[in-house]
Amino acid sequence: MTSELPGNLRPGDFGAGEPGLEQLLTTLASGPAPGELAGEQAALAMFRANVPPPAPAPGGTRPMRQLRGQRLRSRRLGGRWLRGVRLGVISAAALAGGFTAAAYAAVLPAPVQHAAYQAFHAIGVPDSHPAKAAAGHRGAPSGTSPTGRPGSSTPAGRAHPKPSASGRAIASAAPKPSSTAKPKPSTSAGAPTGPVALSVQASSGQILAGGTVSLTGQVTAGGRPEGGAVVRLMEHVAGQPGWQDAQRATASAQGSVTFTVPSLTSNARFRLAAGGAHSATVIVTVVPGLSVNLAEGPRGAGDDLAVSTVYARRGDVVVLQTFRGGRWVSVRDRLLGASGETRFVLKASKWQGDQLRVVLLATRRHARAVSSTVTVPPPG
Amino acid sequence: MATETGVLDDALARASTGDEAGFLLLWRTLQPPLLRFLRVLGCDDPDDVASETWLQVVRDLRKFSGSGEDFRRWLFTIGRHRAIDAARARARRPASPVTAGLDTLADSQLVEDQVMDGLSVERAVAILGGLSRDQAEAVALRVIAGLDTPDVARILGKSAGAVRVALHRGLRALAHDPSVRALTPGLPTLEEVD
Repeated sequence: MTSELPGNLRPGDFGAGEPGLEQLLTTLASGPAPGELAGEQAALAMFRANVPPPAPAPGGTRPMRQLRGQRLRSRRLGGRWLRGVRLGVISAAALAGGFTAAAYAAVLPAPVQHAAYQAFHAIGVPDSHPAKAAAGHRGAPSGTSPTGRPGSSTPAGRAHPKPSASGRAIASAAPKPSSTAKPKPSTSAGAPTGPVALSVQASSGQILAGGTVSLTGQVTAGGRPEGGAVVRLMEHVAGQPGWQDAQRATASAQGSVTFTVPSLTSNARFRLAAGGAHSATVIVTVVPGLSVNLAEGPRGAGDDLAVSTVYARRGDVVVLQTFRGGRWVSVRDRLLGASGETRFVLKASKWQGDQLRVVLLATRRHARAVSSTVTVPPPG
Repeated sequence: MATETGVLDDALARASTGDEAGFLLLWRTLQPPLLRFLRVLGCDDPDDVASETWLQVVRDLRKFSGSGEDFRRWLFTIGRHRAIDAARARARRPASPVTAGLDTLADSQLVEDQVMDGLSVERAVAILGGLSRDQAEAVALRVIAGLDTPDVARILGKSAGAVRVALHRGLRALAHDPSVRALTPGLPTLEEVD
């Protein structure tokens, strides 16, 4: 427990040793979350409409913005200014489109690009720094052809979620797949044939950790396929800072483009970007491999339920559950060790005949995984 | 905090003279906690209420005198009043059916929570909003708004002692909330997962 908590609270304010509460309080007092600063341009427009700008320097000319501010000033704005403000957002976004487009294309001078990244990274503007190797997956090609192959390191075993015939992994209690994103119109006015819009669809919203995901996109300009457009795949891997420019590809004559991301081992967001526009975001979650093995121990020593995982991390929580009264009830928990393994020791005399399973709790890096069910045999 | 206080003081002084950069600094610093506070209060449309709050702030900015911390307290006082007004207006309106879009929004937020953020701000605010009103307000104003106990007491119209009691009880309730305990690696007690 740290002594510095949000609100100048001290551990003694609520009892010592509550790291869960500390995490909650830290989150509540954290910096801006995505979307919380979305109304900035609208707020600025409201400010301009209600507050005169600083007086001009003596002898100076009257600022143009002051004239505009006087025109904009309206006492009618009242409590319903938000509607107008939303229009202001659109206008401001349109005005900023050129800069944003340049920032998206990462063609600004490095300091300016970095400033743009700091201001707009939440909407996909890359940093000036070279794209870092994504730690969430290995061997992702930067070329345009889908050369990746499905992860061969996927562990075999009945504990793993099994892909369906359509290629989607199944995990009954896992987050709902979110594999499609609708086009988001471009704010750029420089496109030759009209506003650029992109859409993207993932082959699956959830995959086995270490597996491959394909992302198929469509790029249009003025509502027509934009063949030959250079499309960038942006990715934001869980645990990594910001968006990275992962791959590039050229759209076909039909305006379609396909990216393959192999060996994805962490949850990730993806979006496509081209011509100053970007698609909405698709999220792909990964389910770590999780297997259990019940070994009968020596007489009186208890059985040994060994848990092993692939692509989970040290410190992740696994929970032992038993099926009682028609539902799964948690009975014990363990933290994974450095090798991604842990074990539960069970007294056969107590557990005989019981059905057991292990659940790996979801983290920001992976989805929840559930093992197969094992039945404890009677003591030998 | 001292640094942030100085930044707020400077931004406030600039904004009071019509400087846009000063205003934007104030807004960027205080809009996220204001939105979170309004969500804790159960606002249907926290963005709308926050907008009304800032509008009143901007209109009265020239009359305001005080430090950056005074401004912070002033902003949250106005925000709380606007939230109460919004709740009253909502109570006077006939109930409107819930649209299907809300389910979609909730689902996507759930995915976001689980995928990228571990404990997201949305989720943390929802947990805090589960407390009783007086406890939630006390914790929110201390933790989210960053106000001290006397300021919280002035906003809530209570004594500092009453605020401390509400804060203490609220924090203890949060510490025992199963969803908060689940944030603790190791889960010291037996909790249901399903």
